[in-house]
Amino acid sequence: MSDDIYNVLPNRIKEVFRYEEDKLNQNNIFNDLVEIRIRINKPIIFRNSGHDLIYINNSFVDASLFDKNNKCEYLCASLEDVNEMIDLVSDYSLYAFEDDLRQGYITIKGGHRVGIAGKVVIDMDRVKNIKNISFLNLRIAHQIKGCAKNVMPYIQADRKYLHTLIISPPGCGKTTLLRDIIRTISDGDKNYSGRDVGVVDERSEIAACYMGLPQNDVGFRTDVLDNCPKATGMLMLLRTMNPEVIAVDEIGDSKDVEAIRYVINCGCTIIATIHGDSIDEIRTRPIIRKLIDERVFDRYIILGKSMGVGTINNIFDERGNELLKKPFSTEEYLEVY
Amino acid sequence: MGNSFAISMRKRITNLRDIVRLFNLLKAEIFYKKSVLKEACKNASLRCIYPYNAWLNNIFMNMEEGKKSFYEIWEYELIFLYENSSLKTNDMDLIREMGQALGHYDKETQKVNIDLELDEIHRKVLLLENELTNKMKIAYIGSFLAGLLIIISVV
Repeated sequence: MSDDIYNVLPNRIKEVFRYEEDKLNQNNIFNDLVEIRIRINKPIIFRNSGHDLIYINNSFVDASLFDKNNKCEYLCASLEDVNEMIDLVSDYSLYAFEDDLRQGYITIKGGHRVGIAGKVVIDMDRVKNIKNISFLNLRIAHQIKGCAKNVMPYIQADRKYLHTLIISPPGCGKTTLLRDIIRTISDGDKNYSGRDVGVVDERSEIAACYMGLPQNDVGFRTDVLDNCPKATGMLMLLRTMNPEVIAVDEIGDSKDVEAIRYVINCGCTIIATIHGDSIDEIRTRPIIRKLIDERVFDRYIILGKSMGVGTINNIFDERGNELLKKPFSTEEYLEVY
Repeated sequence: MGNSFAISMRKRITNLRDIVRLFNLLKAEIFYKKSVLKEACKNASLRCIYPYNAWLNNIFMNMEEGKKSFYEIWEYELIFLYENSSLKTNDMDLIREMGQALGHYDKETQKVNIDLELDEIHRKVLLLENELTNKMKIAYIGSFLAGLLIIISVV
């Protein structure tokens, strides 16, 4: 477990990890740790890819074994633990994260995201703040370098990169894939030399900047606008950083679409992601339908989980022609169509 | 004796004014740059003279270690400030209270709390200046009368 995560955990959980250090290292229990869920007066859940663990009677067991009627020693979170973790996550400066709280999360060093839930304070139909915080979800970021290796040939043509839209349901690895695409374009690969890339990282998930420095490797020719709205950020990058490629995560509204058109008209390549299951599904959204019908994007990459997180279900061209014979995991070798 | 009292009092007033300036720097870091507390302390320390720069830097370094809460560190480092300035114990109480006002609240509540503390310090500075003026007057009158008495007794 990285120090970035360990340092924001409440002392009681830290003690458990210190006590169980040998066992954890021996059994590689937390090699695939994806989330830590903390809820007041409930067992703390350590989520691996596949199953949930809780700490009960001094050992980590499957969460399905938890029986709340059974009086046994299990590690559960108290109000003090949650308050302590909020202080650590916010560096004792909760005021500095008001905008993040409105979104419901705080991004910490290392690019990990702490989701926050409690009582929402509304002011003029707008989320102003969250108080009485009782639920925390520490989502652990994973950078997988090389996961875009087999995708790159599909988004390259005639010495250029193609406008690409990655379509994915939640939790299928679209941000991880986008990040590696950015890194590969920026650093270059055996076929293409490196290009200047501009990233609008609205939620600090792609580069995960901390004190202005990217915590993830996004390539050495990449400029990052952190915590900036996508539409504004794309135009700012165009005007000031002269990128050849602009990357954004989770487009959705009309402002994003307008900005994308502008970027493309200025000769810049756009790589974007969107929530969805398929081209047909995202076509039901009027704003996105226009983009598809006008063939703004040259490539559509559809992600899924059929072979695990990061499965490339299909790749389509601008006319909707399938380019893949069959789905592949981002770890498989390239299959040429 | 009167002279050394006046010098000590002037130093104390100067230190309190320095504290006001320092808190305004912190306030700007917090409200305009939205810096987290340790960053605010670090940046403010670069624009202060000794002992304030060292005090803020100590707070920053301790926060970097991550072993104690902000308020624990703030309170502990007050000893350094007390030993290296002319501030008195009740002045340190105001600075201690400022540490309690930082970090926990939303921006607006925090601003109100910081402004309240700053007002307190301003009031104290004015009181001390008045006190100094009055005591200086008494000292002058006293020394004049003492001189007169000496002359009369000689004569």
